[in-house]
Amino acid sequence: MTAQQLLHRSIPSNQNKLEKARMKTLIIIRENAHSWLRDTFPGQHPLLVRICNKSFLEFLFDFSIIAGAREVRIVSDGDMAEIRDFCHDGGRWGLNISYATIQKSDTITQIHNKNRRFYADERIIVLDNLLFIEFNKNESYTEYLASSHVGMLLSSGQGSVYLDGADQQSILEQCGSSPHISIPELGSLPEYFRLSAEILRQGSRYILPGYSNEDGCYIGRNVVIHKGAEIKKPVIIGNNVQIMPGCVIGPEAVIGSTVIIDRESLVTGSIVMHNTFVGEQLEVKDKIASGNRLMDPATGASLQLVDAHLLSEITAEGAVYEGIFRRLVHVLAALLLFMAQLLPYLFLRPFVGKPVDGGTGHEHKIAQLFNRLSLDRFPQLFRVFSGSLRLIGSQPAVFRYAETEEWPENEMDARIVEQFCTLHSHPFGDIPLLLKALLNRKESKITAS
Amino acid sequence: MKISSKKLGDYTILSLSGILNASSAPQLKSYLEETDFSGSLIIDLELVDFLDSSGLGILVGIARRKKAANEILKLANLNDRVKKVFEITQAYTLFDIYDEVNAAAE
Amino acid sequence: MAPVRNYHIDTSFSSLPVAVLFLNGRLDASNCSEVHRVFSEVLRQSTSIVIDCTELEFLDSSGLGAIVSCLRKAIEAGGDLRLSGLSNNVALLFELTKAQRLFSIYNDSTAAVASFNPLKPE
Repeated sequence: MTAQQLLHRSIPSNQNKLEKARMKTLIIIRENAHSWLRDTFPGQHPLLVRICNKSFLEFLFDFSIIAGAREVRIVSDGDMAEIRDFCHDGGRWGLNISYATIQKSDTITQIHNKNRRFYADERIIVLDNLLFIEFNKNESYTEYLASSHVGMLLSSGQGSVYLDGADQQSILEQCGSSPHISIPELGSLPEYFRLSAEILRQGSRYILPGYSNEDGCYIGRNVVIHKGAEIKKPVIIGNNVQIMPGCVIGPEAVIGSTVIIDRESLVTGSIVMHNTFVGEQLEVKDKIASGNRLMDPATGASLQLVDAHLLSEITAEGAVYEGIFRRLVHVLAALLLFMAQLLPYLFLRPFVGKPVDGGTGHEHKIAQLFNRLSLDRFPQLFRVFSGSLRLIGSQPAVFRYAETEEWPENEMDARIVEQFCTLHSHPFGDIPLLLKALLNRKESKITAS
Repeated sequence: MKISSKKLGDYTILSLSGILNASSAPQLKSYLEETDFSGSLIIDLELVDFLDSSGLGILVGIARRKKAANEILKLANLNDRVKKVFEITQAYTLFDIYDEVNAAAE
Repeated sequence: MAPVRNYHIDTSFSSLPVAVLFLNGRLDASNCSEVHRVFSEVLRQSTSIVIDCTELEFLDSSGLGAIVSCLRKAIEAGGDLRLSGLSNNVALLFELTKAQRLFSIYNDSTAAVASFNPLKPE
């Protein structure tokens, strides 16, 4: 841990005072920012997209550590589940990470108020809407950040670094020289590509993942480089990577984790994202390969390959078992429901045809009974047997999780219930939920697909 | 579940503790009906051990009524378990959430 | 949709007719036999051939294989096959597979045809 060693390197004059002047980092994530990253690398939170085999968020953590801030709060106006799953409590980085939510329209002051307890009387480095911050791990930031005035420190079109919280002027003399900090322009694939190459070239400024016994060459765990493959630095290779015979990797190649580069292929000036298979005798030059997608930052071209032997995604086979089990439970439950509903359905169906309001009171009652017994869903049971629909679940399903509750009034409410049930979901747990939904039919305001 | 309320400046602070689910919902509902909760309201959730989708339903209901009446509702002091439920269900988009009651009451 | 839209014989150079063959849509395993068939027909009329890919939207490895085998046939017959109008996406596959090294590639078919000009050796 180079960062830790750095922190302990003492700065004699302000040392004691610095210990009093503790710092924390507040990372603000705004959902609508960085949408280009969502389009380019779909299915990932933008801050978890990797650059040089490390997520953007981890680079922000590194900065926080170097600045002497071990407490980090991540606030967002969007979905943070993925970020939580990735960071947990931050122990992995020696950080203490907490989370909070904000509204889209919140200003820095409102965010300050909402996080008053976290702020306490301390100095807060606010990384607002930032993807990446350029710094140099060999310089010292603690004193500079602790002694600077509260207010905007850096800002670009996209994000900013803001100092907030307690002013430490009274206890610290302003630190003269400012260490290197800047926010790079980062709003498109070519800019991402350029930054990646820059980080790789200036590897010693950042803490890059992987084992490194010489500058410009970082290699992860469980990497097999077969005989006759050639590695030219600067290069960074992730974990669980196979480089087959005759390959040439580098210079300026970033190979993600869980990657296979097949025989005699060349990867240079390029990024191969995690979970990617690159076939044999190919040439990946100044490109980005991600799964079965090949992108050219220079032209903006993006090609989705259909030939798995050229380029494809390496997928983990997980959750299949639970999927099969759940389906079994659903089919059995649907079968029971089918038997229970068959006769009432056949008996009542002929009376329910036309729109209800046109009919007499008698017909209206039958229609009500028909719905209360959930006979309107009867035809959909066949889709459960064929495996194309779940009996109960989030939309689409025969019964929606949202129908287990009486309170949802609109789609937003329905989604809240569905997310809750999905989170606490278990194949067997679906049965009581199904019963709840069946009993609840008369009240339900939410309609199924 | 235990329910208590007090005044802090212009705000009424409603403190909940224990389990907030379908079975405790009627208790909270009747408490809300019996007591006058017009004006700005802060709900302190620090001592809520468990919150399920029915419990969320009550909070969403309060938020809706407050919004219709053009009044303020803030939530404060969410512990980690409760916070997680809010995050994952995305119910947080409907509420202003503070980590301290005093900051919410300003 | 047939992968081969049409073809014509360009006679700008009286001594050397150049055949220009236009591809469009998708070229993949399902329809590359069509390319083989038309190409053999074209080859009987001229051994200097241009394949124009301006309207070719998608190509997979079978399609690429078909074009490479056309090149082989053209060379065996003593001529050449040159390409024109590759879109960025199609060019990506040529680069990845190194097929671009096998071909002379031009921006448009006029340039490709001109490259066969017997009076102006390259």
